Amino acid sequence: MANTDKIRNFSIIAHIDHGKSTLADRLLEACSAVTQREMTDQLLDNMELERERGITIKARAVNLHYTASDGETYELNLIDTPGHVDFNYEVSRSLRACEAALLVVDASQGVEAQTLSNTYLALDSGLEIIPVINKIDLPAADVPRAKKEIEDIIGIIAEDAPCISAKQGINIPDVLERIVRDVPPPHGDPDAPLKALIFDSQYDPYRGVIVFFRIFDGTLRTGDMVHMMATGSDFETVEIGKMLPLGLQPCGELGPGCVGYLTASIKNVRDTAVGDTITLADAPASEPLPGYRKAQPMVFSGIYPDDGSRYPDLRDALEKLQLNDAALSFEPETSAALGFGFRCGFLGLLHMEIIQERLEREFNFDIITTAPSVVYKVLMRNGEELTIDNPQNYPDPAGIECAYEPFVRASIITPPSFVGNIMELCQERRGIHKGIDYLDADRVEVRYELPLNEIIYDFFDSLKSRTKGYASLDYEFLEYRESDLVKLDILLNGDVVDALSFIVHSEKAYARARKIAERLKENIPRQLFEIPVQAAIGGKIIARETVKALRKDVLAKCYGGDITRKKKLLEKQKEGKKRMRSVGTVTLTHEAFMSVLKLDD
Amino acid sequence: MDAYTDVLIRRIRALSSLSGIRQFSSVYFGGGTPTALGVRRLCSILDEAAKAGLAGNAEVSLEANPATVRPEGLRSLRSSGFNRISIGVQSFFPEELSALGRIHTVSDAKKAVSDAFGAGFSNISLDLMLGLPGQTVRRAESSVDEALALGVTHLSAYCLKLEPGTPMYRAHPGGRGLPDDDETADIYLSCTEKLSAAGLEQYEISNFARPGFRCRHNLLYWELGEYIGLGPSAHSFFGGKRFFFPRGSSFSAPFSHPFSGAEQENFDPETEYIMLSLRTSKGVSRRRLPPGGAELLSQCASHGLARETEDGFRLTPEGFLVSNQIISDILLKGNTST
Repeated sequence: MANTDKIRNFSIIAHIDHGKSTLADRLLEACSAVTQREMTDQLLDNMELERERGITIKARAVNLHYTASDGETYELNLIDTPGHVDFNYEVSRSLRACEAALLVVDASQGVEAQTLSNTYLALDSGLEIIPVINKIDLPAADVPRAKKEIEDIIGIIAEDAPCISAKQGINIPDVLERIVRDVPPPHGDPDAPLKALIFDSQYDPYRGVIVFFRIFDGTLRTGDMVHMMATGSDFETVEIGKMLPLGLQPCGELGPGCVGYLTASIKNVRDTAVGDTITLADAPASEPLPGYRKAQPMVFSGIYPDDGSRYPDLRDALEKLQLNDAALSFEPETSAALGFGFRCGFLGLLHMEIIQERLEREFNFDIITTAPSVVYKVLMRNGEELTIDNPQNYPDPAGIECAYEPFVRASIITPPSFVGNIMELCQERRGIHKGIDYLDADRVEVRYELPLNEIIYDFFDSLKSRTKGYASLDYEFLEYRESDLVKLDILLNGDVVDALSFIVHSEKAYARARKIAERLKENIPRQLFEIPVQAAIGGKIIARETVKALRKDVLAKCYGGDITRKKKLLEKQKEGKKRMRSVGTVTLTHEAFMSVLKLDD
Repeated sequence: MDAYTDVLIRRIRALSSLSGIRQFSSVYFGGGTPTALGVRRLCSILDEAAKAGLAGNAEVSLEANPATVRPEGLRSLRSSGFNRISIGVQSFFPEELSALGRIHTVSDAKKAVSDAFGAGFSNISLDLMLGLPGQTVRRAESSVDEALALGVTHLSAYCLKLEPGTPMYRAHPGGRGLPDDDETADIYLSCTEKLSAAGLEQYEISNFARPGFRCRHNLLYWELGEYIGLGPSAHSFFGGKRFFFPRGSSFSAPFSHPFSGAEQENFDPETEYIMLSLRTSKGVSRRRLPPGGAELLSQCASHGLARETEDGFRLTPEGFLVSNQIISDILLKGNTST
C-alpha cells in the first residue's frame, strides 16, 4: 500500500452564504477535475432543495489530484459538511475524518456563531485550522478586520491567510498550496485491524446503500466481509472505491488515510450509521473509534395527508425518505381531528422543514402538520418512566411524580447593541444566563441555557426581528431538567381538538392559553352559530373567547328571473363546504383549518 | 327604438304561442330603464301582451326612475292598463343618492310618488338601498319613515352588494367606508321591524307589502312559476326549461325561430325549490328537504334563525341575513345523501 505522505484530508467550515460551495467548485476546477461544461454550480450540493436553500443536507466527499509547485502530485480529499445546527453530529463526524479544516470567513461579514461552533468542533477533533478570507472583491470587504477577528475570537494566526474571491476565482492556487503545506498527512498502520469511520451513507436504488468512510488503520479490499461495530451488522463488500468528481471509481483496496466508499447490498441506511466504525468481520478491531452517537430525534410533529385516502402513499414516501435519512423516524398516529397520519421525529426544526418540503415537492403531497413538540420525560408516581413525544399522550397530572424537559446550550453572536433585546428574549423564554463574551468591538457572544421547547416556538423569527437579522444562533443538546409542565387542551364548541393540544411550562400556560384563544378567534371564520373557544388544563378552563355568529351572507336581490346565476353562486359555496374539515363539531374550510394549525405561539 | 319594439312584439307573438301559456297573470317592464322607450311604445308592447292572453285582473308593473316620469305620461300608462309602478328611490338622503351616482333628487322621488298616485296608481312600490356609505341605523330608519309617509303599498329594501367593475366597488376598495356586515345586519333588522310594525309584511328577503299588494310577478319567480323574458339578458322558464337571451344584439337581430339567439340553462328542480322557497315567508316544505335538512333548520330555529311553519320551516329576518349559509348547508346535505 502506498504511503500516506501525499494524502491531504480536509473539510471546509463556513457560515451559510460565506462561500463554501463556491470555493469547493473552484478547487475542483483548479484540479482540472471537472470541465466547465460539466460544472454545474455547486457540484457538491446535488439535491435540488439544497441548492435552493443554499445549504448542504448530506455530507459528501470528493477525491482530487493536485500537482503542487514542488512538482509532486497530491491526493486531496475534500469532505463536505452539512451546514446547520440540526446536523451538528454529522458535522462532527465529517470533521473527524479529516486532518484539517479550511475556515472560510466572509471578508465583509466576519466570524459568525455557526462558524465559531464548527471551528470549536474542529479544534476538539484536533484538526489544523487553515483560515481563508473570502469575498475580498466585495466593496464592503475588510480583510484586516476579518483577520483580526479570526485571531481574537478563534485564537489562530491569520496573518498569512489566503485572501481570495471564490466567485471571481482570485487566488485559488494559494489555497491549494496551503492545503499541501499545512494539512498534515494522515498516519495509520496498513496491517492493523481495520478501523474506518462512516461519515455519510446514501441509498441508491440499484446498489443499495453506499457507505462513505475514512480509513484510520488497516486495509479494506473488495469482497471483504465487514462488520459495523455499533449496529452489529455484517456485510460482504461488493465494490470499494473513491469518489471522483464525476462519479464513483472502483478500486481493489484502500489503506490508511484513504477516503472512499463501499457497497454491500445493504438495504437500509440504519445499518450504516454515521459515526459507526467499520472493521473486518474475521479480524475485528478490539475497540471502535471513539464518539459514536445514535441519531436522536429532538423534535416531533404529526404529519397528515390532506387527502385521507393518500395515507398509504404518505407511508411509502416517508419510507423512501428514510432510506437516505437515518435521523428521520416515524410511526402511525391517529387524530380525531386529522384522521390517519404519522408522528415524525426530526433532528431539529430545519430537518423538519426539509422533510415537509420534500414531501410536498418531490412527492406532491398536500400535508397537514401539527405544531412541533420536543420529547418530555415523565416519572410517574408508580415509578414508571415515560417518554412523551406527542402531547396527546401526556399522562393525567394526578399520576405524575415529576416531569423533565430537554435543555440546550445556546450561543448567540450579535452586535453589542442588540444584547439587551436578546437577553430579554431569552429571559422570556425561561433562559438561564451563562455569560457574555465580547469577541471584539462589534460582536458579542451571549450564552444561555434554554429549554428546547422554547426554541421551537418561533424563537428564530423572534430573534431575527429583535436583532434586525444580525444575530446568529447555535445550540446543542445539554440535558433533561425537571420542570413544572402542564398539558394545555384547546376546546372548540366544548370538544377537545386533539391536534391542538400542547405541553407548556405552567408559568407560561395562562399567557399562551389567552394568546392561542385570541388567535383562534381571529382565524376561525364566523359561522352560522357562535363557537366558544376555550383553553383548559385538565378540566379547568383558563381562557375563553367566542367566535361570534355570522351576521350577513345573503343574495339580497333575486328577481328578473335569472335564477341560474344565483344558483351557481350557492352551488359554489356548497362545493367549498365539501372540502371542509370537521374539528369536533365545528367545520372549517381548509384554509381556516390550516391557519388554526399553524398557530405556533 | 321602433325597430327594437317591432322585434320585441314579434318575439312576444312567437314565444307566447310556443310556450303553451294560455293566460298571463302578470306583465313586468323592468331591468334598466324601460321608461326610456317612451309611453307610446310601452303601451303598444302591452297591447301585444294582452293579445297573447292576459288575465282580467293581471298585475302590470313598470319600473321607473324618479326623474324619468311625468304626470301626463303616468296618466297615459295608467289608462292603457299599467296598474303597478315601482319607483327606484334608493334613499331619502342626497349624499347617499350621489354616492349611488343617481341623477334624481329627493324631491324628484317624492314628486314621482305623488304624481303616480295622482295618475290613478294605487299599487306603488319603492326601492331602498341598505348598507350605503355612511348609512347608520337611524338614517336607514328615517328613509323608511319617509317612504311610509308617502303611503306606498310595497317596498323593496336591498342590501348593497359590491360588484367588481362598478364605480361603487372602485370607490370602496375592500368595503372601506361602507357599513360592515354587522352594521348592515343591524340596519336590515331595524328596517324589517319598522316595516312590519307599519303593516308592510315581509314576504321575501328584501320585499315588504301591505296585505294584497305582494308583487305577484316576483312571487312567480320564487315559486317556480312559468314566465317568458324578452330582451337582452332576459331569462325565461317554461315547459321545464330555462333559457335566456345573452347580453348584446342576439335578441334584436332578425330571427328565424322563436328561440333563435337564446341559450338554454340547466333546470334543477330540487335545488331551485330549496334556494327559492327559503327566500320567502312561506318557506320550505318539510317533505322536500333532503335528509338532515330538517335537523339543520330545527337547529337554526333554536338560534332564532328559522321558525317552524305548518308544513316546514321559514327563515326569520336574522335567518334571511345568513340565508346563503343555510341554503348551501342544506344543499350540501342533499348532495352527500345521494
